[in-house]
Amino acid sequence: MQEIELMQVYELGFHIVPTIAEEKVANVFGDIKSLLEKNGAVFISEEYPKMRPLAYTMFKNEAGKNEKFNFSYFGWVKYELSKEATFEVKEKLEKNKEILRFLVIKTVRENTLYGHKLSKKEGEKTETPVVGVIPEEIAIASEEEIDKSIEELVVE
Amino acid sequence: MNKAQDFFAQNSIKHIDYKDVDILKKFINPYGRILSRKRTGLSAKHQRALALSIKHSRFMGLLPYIAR
Repeated sequence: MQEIELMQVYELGFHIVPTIAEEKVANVFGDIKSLLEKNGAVFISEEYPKMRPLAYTMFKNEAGKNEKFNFSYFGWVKYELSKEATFEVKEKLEKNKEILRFLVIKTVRENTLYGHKLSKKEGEKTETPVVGVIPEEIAIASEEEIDKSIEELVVE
Repeated sequence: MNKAQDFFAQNSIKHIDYKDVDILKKFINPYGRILSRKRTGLSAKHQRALALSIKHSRFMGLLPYIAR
């Protein structure tokens, strides 16, 4: 029971540098997941890193030079892990040169993304009159067709 | 401000996610600043959670610190 109490749901959001080829992103994502797994993380959900524009230019110091980034592969993993292991994971992630920036936050097990659902709801409201009309027409037509087919059968 | 005007209470959103940019964008002005509680109509608890989520989102480059 004690082990369960010590576990906490975390979410790791990360940016992978865009200089990496798209095929190799899978490897970096795999490395991140294996690092978490080694420390005893139990995965809950994840999103594969996708290329997206950044809201502002980010800098990363590489060999004494500040490199600018306007795009990156952004992905996230939600997992359950103990507090102590989380610090170790953070330290190792900071040393990873392929990660531009990352954020570990405490979160809940349930889905926390509502943006798509809400936009769908708004969409449904506008579509409802159209949706309501079409099935009725189909239903009427189908009934008539059935009647016709029955009559034909009776005649035969 | 009563509960009926609280966006997160209305939509029964318990946890505000920093990745939910579409929702967070509703609560920033064209300059990228967080709207006041007077304007958002949120409960104190939700306003605090919102501010934190927007700041997380800015750090991760999903929202701007300064726009325009």
